[in-house]
Amino acid sequence: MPVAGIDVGSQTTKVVILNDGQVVGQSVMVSAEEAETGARKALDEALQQAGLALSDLTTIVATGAGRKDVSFAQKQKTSLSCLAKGINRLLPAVRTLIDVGAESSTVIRINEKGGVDDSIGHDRCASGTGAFLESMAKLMQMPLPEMGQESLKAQRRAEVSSMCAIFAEQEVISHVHRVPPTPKADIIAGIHGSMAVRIVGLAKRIGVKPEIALTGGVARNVGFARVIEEELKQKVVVPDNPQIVAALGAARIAQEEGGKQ
Amino acid sequence: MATATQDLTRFEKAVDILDSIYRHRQLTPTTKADGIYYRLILEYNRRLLQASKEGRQIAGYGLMIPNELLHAMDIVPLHLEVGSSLMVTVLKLYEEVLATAKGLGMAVELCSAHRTMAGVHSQGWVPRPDFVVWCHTICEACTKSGEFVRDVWGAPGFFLDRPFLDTEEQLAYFADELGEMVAFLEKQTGKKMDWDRLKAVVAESYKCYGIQKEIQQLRALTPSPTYNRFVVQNILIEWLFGGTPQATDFYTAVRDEMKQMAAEGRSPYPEKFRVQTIYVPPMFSWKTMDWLQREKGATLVGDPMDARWQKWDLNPERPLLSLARKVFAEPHGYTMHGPVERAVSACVQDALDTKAEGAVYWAAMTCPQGCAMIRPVRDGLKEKVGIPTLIVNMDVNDPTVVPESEIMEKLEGFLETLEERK
Ligand code: SF4
Repeated sequence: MPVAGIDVGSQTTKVVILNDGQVVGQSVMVSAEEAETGARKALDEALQQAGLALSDLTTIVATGAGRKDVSFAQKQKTSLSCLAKGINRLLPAVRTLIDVGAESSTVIRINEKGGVDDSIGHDRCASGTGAFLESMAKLMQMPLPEMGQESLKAQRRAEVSSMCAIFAEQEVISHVHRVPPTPKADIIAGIHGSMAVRIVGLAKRIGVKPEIALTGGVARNVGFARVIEEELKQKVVVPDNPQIVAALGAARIAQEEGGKQ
Repeated sequence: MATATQDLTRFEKAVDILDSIYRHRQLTPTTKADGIYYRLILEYNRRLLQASKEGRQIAGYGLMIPNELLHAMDIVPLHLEVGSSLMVTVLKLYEEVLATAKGLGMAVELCSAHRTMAGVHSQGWVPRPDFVVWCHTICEACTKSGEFVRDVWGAPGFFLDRPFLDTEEQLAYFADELGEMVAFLEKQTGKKMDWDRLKAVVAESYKCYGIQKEIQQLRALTPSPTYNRFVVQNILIEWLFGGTPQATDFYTAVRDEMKQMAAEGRSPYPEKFRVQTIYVPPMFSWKTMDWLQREKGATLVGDPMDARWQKWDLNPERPLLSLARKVFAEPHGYTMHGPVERAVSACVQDALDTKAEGAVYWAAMTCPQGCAMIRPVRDGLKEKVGIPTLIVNMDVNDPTVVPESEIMEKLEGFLETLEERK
């Protein structure tokens, strides 16, 4: 029975369609002004990929910040549960999930069943989020997708504050204008390091248990994933498509809900 | 510092609004205790307005000052922190008031309850206190704020020194301090303390304490026969009316309603989750408390920092020493004044007693005390009870810092976690 999970984030909307437990369609789109319109568009694309029509879907579950606006979803679930369910389907051995999105970062402790045991979030300061990385990319005059690769060339991590986005920005500016300037790769590694210190500090508050996975849009940044490993001193797995984990989890919940009906 | 000029236009408006809320409640009654609560809040403010018009003396008093002394001397009380916050909440004056505080040079990192108070008092928006009494329980913001109010009104003041611990020696010292406070009040009012009256007031206070302890036990029942909004009502009634017959009336009604529900084996709404609430929730959003219970089935079964009383030994013949002991038994002062182990053990024991499945820690972002306790409390609950704690960043008074919708979102996610842990 085909079901869909829709994750309406502040920057992107993600959809996963499952049919008999298999992923048959998925899409990632920039979120529209109207969450419902964006969700419908992303869903249509995933449906097309799956060769299905909206009427074929038995259950739709929406998650993410804009989930309540998706009127055609039968159920809404918060990202926490969906992330846990999603990663449990992809990597069942994961017990700690670090999700770094555009505006927040969350650490979740997951049990064997894919349920949330504990979680902690950080959303009151841009440091430690994708928005921070985006503003740093602008400051470094470098396209965001290139930051990860560039940072791998670093000899050492430049010192960048992990406590406050504003302080961090000032420090980056001073690295750029220093004579001689701090190498670009070192500054970017320092930026990743500042985020990682903050997020790992958060993770340690609820306890880190292996295996560990990194998801969310920022997980696509290889440099960031590496410093997270360095800070944790443990291996961190990044799933192939780290952005769609919550949508996949929502689809799994839709599947379970469908079964109950 | 420039002296404030009293302008009660806004205060009168707030009283009018409280009056309409009370009348609305009478037309659409909910519970008896709810009705008493709204009446008392109205009466408290009306009395102040009346006293101001009649030229009766008003005492400004800060957090943790024992009301009983003012009550025994028939002095009209104006609570510095709660009085201002209540008015600002009713009239939704956050922005204006906090901007005034900023104009006075108060950094946004300072306690917002005290910035609110500074904004309100410096503009003269509450009845002028003729004198001010305050202490350093529970934080240094309280210490400085009392001085601020004294100076802004050019009024005489008394600083009550509350010792850190409650050894017999320190309790005796504190009782002497309370005696000094009585001497100050006598000087300001020209009246002598009627010690027999004070004994009766303290006895009334002790009676009320007994009822509060009963409520604490009733809350721990499964299902818990408690309304979530009691969390906020309890804080306000204890701080505004502690030790008065009005407080006894309120708590008696709460207890009796709870007993009735307990006899019927029910809670006000079907109970799905049992949650501990830690510290002061957002005062601007009672809706969140109601929503949690009505729509999500989450009952706030325990409130270790505001409703879990420690043992209070009354000595009827020594009212000041008895009051000194009460200040240390009072849950907010007991847990917030330190050492932090007290807060941790109160939360842990309360979670065990109430069979809480999770805890919500209201992290007032401008409160150094409250925020410093998050980690030990969270770890304590996790290690000793095995339950998770949700940390909700917020401001007690200002909804623009973290909006209601964001708070609800976090709570919803947390309840999903609790659901999965079942
Ligand atoms: S909120 Fe914190 S800083 Fe403000 S009065 Fe209470 S203890 Fe003090």
